[in-house]
Parts: sequence; structure tokens; C-alpha cells
Amino acid sequence: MTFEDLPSVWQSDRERAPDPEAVLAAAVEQSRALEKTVRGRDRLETVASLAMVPLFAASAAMTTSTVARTGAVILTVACLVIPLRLRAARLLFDANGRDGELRAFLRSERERVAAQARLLRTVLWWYLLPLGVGVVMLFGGGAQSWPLSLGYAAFVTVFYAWLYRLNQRAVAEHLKPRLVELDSLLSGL
Amino acid sequence: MKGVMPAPADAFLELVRSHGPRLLRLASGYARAEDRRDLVQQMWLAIWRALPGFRGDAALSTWAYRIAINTAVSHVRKDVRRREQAAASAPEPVAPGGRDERAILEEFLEALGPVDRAAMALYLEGLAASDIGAVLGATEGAVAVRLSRIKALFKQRYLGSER
Repeated sequence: MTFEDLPSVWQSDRERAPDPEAVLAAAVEQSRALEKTVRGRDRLETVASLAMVPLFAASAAMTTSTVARTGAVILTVACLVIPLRLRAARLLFDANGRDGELRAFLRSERERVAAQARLLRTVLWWYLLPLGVGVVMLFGGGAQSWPLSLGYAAFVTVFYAWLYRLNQRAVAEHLKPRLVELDSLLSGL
Repeated sequence: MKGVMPAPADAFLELVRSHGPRLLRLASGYARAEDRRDLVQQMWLAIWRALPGFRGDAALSTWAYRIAINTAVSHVRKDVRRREQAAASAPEPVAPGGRDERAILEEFLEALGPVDRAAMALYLEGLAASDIGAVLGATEGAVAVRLSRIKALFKQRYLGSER
């Protein structure tokens, strides 16, 4: 066997030809299921956020505490802005078509992973801090006892610190290695 | 393929007829038997979803190979641990005599990196260097150099240095 014989060895392996109608039916069904999942995810995210907006807006209108009102306003704005930010990011993440040359695909994949890593690295500023500060101010401003407010603030801080850590770990353990791998593939092309 | 484009379903059915066995072989270079079916289905799903956007800038065959290779390379990246294990158990140089040639070929493909594997799989499918370049986004010369390197590696591993 020589290197030049390999294509005939390879092509002599007569894999059973798939049934075109069955492949089409499976592709159509999977495509519909995928679109349904994406639509459902977007709808759930939007409804959940919009449902919270009137609650926080009402809290801002009704409370007599300036601190609580400020917290409620922060939360109202956050509930409007965060889903938009997530949706914009997801549009970029989902947009990577596979019909380009491998080099173009890998570049676009790298951009996508880098954007995802940026989003998680900055999660403190656009997600955790507004929500964390908002809930602490809303609860603390309306609470009668300062030890309770302090305890709640401590709990929120610890919980959000844990969320922050999870996000950074995801960057370090999943996204960074993928970036290194994509760089290696691109440099090898 | 510029000009009249058949309805997506017709074009898709035609692609499955003409490329079905090719994509199955291609998948065998990137996935073990138990994952192969899943990978091939992913390839067809990606082709189906991309078909409405096909503008005819490249031949339908080249376009389909691009999607198949990009899907296969993504599939490999999802399973880094398995590849690391495969690399760790890379075979010792062996003589081909007495072994199934197809098994040797699959073993050799598995030991290659994803890009080399793509170039080799397309070569095995009988594509010319220029067509392989059109799929990978590389020049014909770069593909020729890559194939030459892969050939040397194959000879060193399986045929002995004298050939």
C-alpha cells in the first residue's frame, strides 16, 4: 500500500447510502425543534424580565425611603437593560454560519468565543453589581432593623461573589482553552 | 451553480444522493463509530439550515464540504479529552502487512490534528489541491505542502523510511 493508494482504499469502503427522504425529514424536524427552543428561550427571558419591571417600578413609586426608591429604580432599569444586552450578545453568538472556508469559520468562531469571554469577564459591571446593589438598597431602605439589612447585604454579597467566581471559572476552564485551541488551529492553517 | 437554484428541499435531496456516502466517510475521520451517526446528522442539519443562504459563489459540492468540515472540526473541539486520550495512545510505527488497510487509515487520521485531518480526508475523497484549498481557505501551494508533510508522516509511520 502506498500513499497514492489511500484514496481508493478510503473510497472502497462502501458506506450504506442514506435514504435522502429520511435525512431531509430529520433535518427539517431538528431545525424546527432548534428554532422552537431558541424562540422559547428568548420569550422566557423577555417575559421574566418584563414581569419584574412593574413590580420594581411600583416599589419605586410607593416607598417613602429614598434608598429603597433608588434601589427599585436601579432594578427597574437593570431588568430592561440586561435582557437587551444578553439578546445582543446571543445574536452574535448564534450568527456564526458554517458555510464559509475553514479559516473564515475559525476566525469567526474565535471572535464569538472572545466576545463570550468578555461578556463573562465584565459580568460584575453589567449584571451582578446593578442587581446586587439594587436589591440591597431596596431591602435595606425598607427594612426596620439595620442588623437585618446588614445581614441581608452580607448574604447578597457572598451569593453574588459566588456567581462572579462561577463566571470567571467558566472563562478560565472553558473559554480560554478554546481560544488557545482556535489560535493554534488558525496558526496552523 | 450560479443562476437558477432549485427549491431547498430538492437541492438538499440531490446533495444527500450525491454526497451521502462521502459525508459518512468524512465523519468516520472525525468521530468514533458510536458518535458517527450523530455527527453526520449535525452536518446535514447545518447544510439544511444554511441552504437558503447559498448564493452560488462556490460549487454546491465545495459549499457542502465546507459545512461538513466546519461541523466536524467543531465536533472534535467539543471532545478535547477524547482527543488527548487518542493522542496519548498514538500508535507505534507498524508495518501494514496483515492489518486491515482501512483500519490503518482510520488510525492514521485519528492521530492527525483537525486541520491536517480535514486536508487528508478531502484528499482521500479525491479532491484536487485547489478544491481542498477552497474548503480550507488556503492556497493550492499551501495545501500541496501540507499534503506532502502528511505523506512523509504516513510513510515514516507505516511504510518505513526507504519508500
